Amino acid sequence: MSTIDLAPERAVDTVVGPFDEEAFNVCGKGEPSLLRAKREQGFHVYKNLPAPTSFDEEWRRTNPRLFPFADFRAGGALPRIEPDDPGEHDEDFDVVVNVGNDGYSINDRTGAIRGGQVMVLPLAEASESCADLIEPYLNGQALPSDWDKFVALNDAFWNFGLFIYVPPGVELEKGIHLKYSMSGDGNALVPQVLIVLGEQSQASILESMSSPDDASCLSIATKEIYLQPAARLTFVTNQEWGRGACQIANDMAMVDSDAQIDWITLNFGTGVSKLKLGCDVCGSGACAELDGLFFCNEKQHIDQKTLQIHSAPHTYSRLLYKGAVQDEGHSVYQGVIQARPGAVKVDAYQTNNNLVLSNGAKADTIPGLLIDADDLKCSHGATIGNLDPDQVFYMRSRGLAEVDARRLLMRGFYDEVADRIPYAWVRDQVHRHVDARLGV
Amino acid sequence: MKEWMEAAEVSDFDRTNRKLVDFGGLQQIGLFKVDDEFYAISAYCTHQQVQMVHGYLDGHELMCPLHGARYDIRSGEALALPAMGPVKTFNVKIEDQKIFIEV
Amino acid sequence: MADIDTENKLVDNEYKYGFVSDVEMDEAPKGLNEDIIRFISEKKGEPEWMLEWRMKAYQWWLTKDEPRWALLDYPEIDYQDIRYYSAPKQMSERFKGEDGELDPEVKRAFEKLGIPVEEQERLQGVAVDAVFDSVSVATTHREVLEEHGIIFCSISEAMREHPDLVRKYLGSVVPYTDNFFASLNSAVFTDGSFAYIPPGVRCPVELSTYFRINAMDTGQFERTLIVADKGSYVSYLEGCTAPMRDTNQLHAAVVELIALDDAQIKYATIQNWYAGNAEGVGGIYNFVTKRGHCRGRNAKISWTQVEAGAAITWKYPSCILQGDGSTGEFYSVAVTNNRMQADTGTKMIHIGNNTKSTIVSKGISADQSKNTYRGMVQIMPTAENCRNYSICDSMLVGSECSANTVPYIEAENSSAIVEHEATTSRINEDQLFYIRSRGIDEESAINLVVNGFCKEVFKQLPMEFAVEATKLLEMKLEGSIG
Repeated sequence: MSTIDLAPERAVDTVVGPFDEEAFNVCGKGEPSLLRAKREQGFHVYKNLPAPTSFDEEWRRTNPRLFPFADFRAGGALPRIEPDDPGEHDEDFDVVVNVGNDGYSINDRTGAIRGGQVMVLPLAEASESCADLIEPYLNGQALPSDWDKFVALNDAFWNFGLFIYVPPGVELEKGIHLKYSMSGDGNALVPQVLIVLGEQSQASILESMSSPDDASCLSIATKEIYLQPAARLTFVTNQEWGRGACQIANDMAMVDSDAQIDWITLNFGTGVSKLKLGCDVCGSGACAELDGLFFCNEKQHIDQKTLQIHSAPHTYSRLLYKGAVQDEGHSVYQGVIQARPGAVKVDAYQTNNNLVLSNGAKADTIPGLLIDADDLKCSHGATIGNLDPDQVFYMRSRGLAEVDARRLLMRGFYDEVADRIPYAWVRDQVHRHVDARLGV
Repeated sequence: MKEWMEAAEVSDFDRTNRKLVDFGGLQQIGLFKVDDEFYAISAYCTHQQVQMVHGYLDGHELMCPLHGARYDIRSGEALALPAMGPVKTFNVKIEDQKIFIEV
Repeated sequence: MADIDTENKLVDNEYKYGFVSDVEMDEAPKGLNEDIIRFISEKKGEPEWMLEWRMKAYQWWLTKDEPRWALLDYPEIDYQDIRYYSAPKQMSERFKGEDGELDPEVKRAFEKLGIPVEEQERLQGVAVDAVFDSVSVATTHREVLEEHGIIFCSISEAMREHPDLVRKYLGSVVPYTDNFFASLNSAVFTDGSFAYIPPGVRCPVELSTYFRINAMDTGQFERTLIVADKGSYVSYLEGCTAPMRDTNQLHAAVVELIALDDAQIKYATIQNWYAGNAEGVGGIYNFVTKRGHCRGRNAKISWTQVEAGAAITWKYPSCILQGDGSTGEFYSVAVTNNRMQADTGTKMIHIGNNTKSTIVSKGISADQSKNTYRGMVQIMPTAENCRNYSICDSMLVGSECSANTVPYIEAENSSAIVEHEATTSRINEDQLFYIRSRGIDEESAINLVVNGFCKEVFKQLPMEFAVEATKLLEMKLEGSIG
């Protein structure tokens, strides 16, 4: 407990929690110069951006005070360790990357890395062994440091960096599982992931996060995805951090001509989340399909912003985010469709459906269209409501208990997205999350 | 589950009529002294959830510095638009020159 | 209204209301300070409490920065380079109690605009309050209104004749602290209309205010206050024009509507301020705060606006739905061409139970203009069974314009149903092709399609206004499609 004296003018703070100059100086010691330069540049931007306050438009609906930054330690780089015993569902993947408190391991299960089908390397190693390949992607084209205070923070303080590269023409059969798990109090994970898919390559990546509910941990992540022409990526994020965790993530994909990304984001975990996820369909014929599910109950707060940026003509994007709020949960969804000048023959659609299941829970939705070109069709739809009482009544009249009727309706609501998840066991998890919260 | 938390000392109010009490997270409470009585209300305006303890205090009326929503610090009642509803009030007690708030 | 403006009947591409009248004016020096506010208050013969209120607003305004969050782009406004009071000399004298005739030039100006201000020439069924720069010059139909106990006069007059009513309601919907421009307006407002409809009265005529900016470098800061007491009904129309000048002029108005139990207010605006020329030089900055408060049960407030003028429009006519069962409506057509910019929309705040709101917004952007819909729907936690339906469509005419849609929706009650839909697309080519294949030329075909696009809004307008609005749109879009 502290008492703050009232001062009319508050000094502008630039340091977020433990991420100060001192912490920076121990970050990434002895790194290759290529990476060091990026880190320093990131820190420079970070130092010059003010820490967010609830007066900033971006943070008006998610008070930065919800993040107890001061309770965390800025950790040094995670060491590489030997892969542990195989985990559940590891057999579904070619490569499994485990990231935990003590370090990370890369398990080349099927020999895809050894066979040259895919590169999965720590950033530091990649910037030495394949500098020419990685260098063009280190300039933050998709996510420049000055995009957001927390992108800059990540650029300066990342303690786990990963580079995934699928060479042109390669079809990675089973894909990659990126598994983050944390435990204990006060740990901060700052992962930076760079994914590049070469021309006409194809891959699927599952990213999952978990921690015990009573562990107070923080994740400040960024992810940059580059799809070269005609590449195809299926990316699923299954975010199941415990209630004691809070996370900030900024993800951006650049999708070149005729390439396609299917990006499914499941947000059931954390106490507080602030996520920004975007796609720039920047080549003719590029396509982005973005789907999301979320559920906030108890005191959960999940703030998501999506960007569908059309910077080239003849591009397509579709988005469907669905979620529910209950108890004192609060969800914020903000979606932007942006058509840059000259982006003609664009077809973009965005839908956000929300269920408010109890009074006091709150759903905010802000779907936006920013259009600077003509000869296109962009639209959005947003709804907020509850489960249809008529449908519940109908099912009850057929002998279903109310709770079962509601559960079935909720399944129907979530399955529109869940059915698109390529992993059956992740679909089951979605159902379990929903059932648990409905008290089934 | 309510408990009394120590918030300030009476002497803190020798030269000011208010304090922002910070219990972490969104538990920020404005503690006011008017006519030798102490009042505690949530520090956030119900209009745009900004911290309004620095606002103008006129008698028992607190005005949010952003858009001028007004509240009665005794009851938390919203007195003028754009206040969207009442603010939460908290019980206050004084023991040994220390001020406690029931949260 | 339409049949009177014969001399301007020809629909041409130029702004037809761009003339300047040569009227002897009584003006305050340029700039803003406490003395100017005292000067205005004294000119109006206001009670002391009013001056105090203005001063408080001015002090508040001094502490605030001009907001810049809207998707608008304009140079810094120099508030010391604006004249805050400008009135036809004779009018000014009349306020001092001498009986002056209406300046023939002012009268001519309104005639040219198609607004008869003398009782003997008044419009059938429409009572007009005509505002010329900083003052109201005439109000018609007074006897009819008085018969029903309706008060309709300029706000300055209301302050002198009905101080209790004004004091009770002024600033109760838009407090002087509300926003930068509302604070400025509260400090320096010069005139505007006041209407009070007593309980159970259905206002027999349409009430209307016509705002005319004439003087150079003058800001217009009018304030309108309409109170519909229990069970009453009123329909109110507002029109605005200004001369063509190559400098920008500021118009920062505040409109407050209050509807008590079972009362209904319909408020329609046709805004045709001078919008600047094709290069974006000149025009009015239209920064307006309009808000209605459904204070009683089953009250209803309906906003209809056709925004066709002004270099920059920045306004969000809103409804605070506090009384249980109250209804808010917002129908809007915003058309921008050349280099016009508009950031407009509405807020529907559901506080009471069973409150309903409807939003229909149609944006048309042509040339290099920028047209933004920004709206908010908010359902408070204790508001049961609320319903909102919004539809926001934007039409793009030409490849250099932009159209933005930014709705904010917040719901905190599990019984709420909120639906929002928006589309942005080019003018429908299939429809154009179909119409043209029937032998209709392109220009007329476009007009037909645009009219169809806006029909839902136009049908909310009284007939004369709907005709006017259709003509205005045709004029705006002429030559926009190459």
